Amino acid sequence: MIIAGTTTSTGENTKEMFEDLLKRTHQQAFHLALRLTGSRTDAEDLVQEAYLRAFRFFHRYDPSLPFTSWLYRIMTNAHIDDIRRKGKLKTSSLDEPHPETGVTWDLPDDSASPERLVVNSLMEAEIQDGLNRMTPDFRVAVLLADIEGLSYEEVASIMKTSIGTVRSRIHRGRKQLRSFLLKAKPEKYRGMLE
Amino acid sequence: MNCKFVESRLAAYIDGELDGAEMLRVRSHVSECDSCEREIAELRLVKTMIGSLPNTRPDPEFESRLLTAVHADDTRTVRVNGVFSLRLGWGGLTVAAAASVLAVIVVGINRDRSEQVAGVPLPPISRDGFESDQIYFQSNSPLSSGVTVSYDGAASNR
Repeated sequence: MIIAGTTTSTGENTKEMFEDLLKRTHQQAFHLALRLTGSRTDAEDLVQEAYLRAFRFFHRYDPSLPFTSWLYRIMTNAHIDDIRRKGKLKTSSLDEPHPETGVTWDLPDDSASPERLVVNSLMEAEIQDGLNRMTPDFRVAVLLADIEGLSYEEVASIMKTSIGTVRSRIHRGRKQLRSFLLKAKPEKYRGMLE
Repeated sequence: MNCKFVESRLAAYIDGELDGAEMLRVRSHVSECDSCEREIAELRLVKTMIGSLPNTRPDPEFESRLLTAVHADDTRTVRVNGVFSLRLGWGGLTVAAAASVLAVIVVGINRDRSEQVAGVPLPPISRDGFESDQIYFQSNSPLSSGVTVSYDGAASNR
């Protein structure tokens, strides 16, 4: 019997392998988690939960498949579980500053010098808010395709569903985001999205 | 070919996920339908917006915090010959040890009874006193957070 902290040499190798994978993948995992949750704190919690679950079940990981696909399956399931547990979607008021960036919904002063930077930050906050309000299953599918650049087949594998369902979720998710932006800032997005 | 047919394939068309024949059919319709052409342009822009979101990095200390969490988690794992693992807090170790002793005794008693009644030799019992193909624990999954006991029935070196 091997208890608490003492492991075989093979166990040490496995641990080193896992740590190496963690070091190489955690930044990209964080980026996906941030877009899924809309909050740095929640993203860190989600990533940590995903790696802990992955470590506990690392003996079930098939090394012939990409580690990130396996990790993202764990992470997106944890994300959906968390939403169901909380029983509601996380949303923010259009009248309040964005919780992460502090950016408000007011359009920037055109005469301000860092206009381009401010506009980019503002659009990021608006898009992220739209993602936060998206149906969770749609959001996962859209982000895996548009942030991670995965194929529909890979998304279907991660979400344990059919390619047809992935196709539908991505389409409906993007339409939800478009509708949100048009409703939230019609004067800004009407010319682009309508 | 109509707009409804194209509507259900717009995302796949934008993402290049249609097969050749379908791609050609959608393209042919779009070239003659202003409404669908506009819809594609707008949804393609939505895709571009999402893909253009800045690649935000975690805090520099996040990696070390993750590794610390994994190490802390590892020390709470109990293994028996690399086959069977329980995840328990230290308070649960005593209970686990007691349960293990009880399980060995019960298996031993049942084995003796079976041999006496049937008179047929049983297959060899493993070193731990467990029949690996007869003992099942509630399955655990990395996709679920609820259960913390796992048994695979095959050697694991984690």
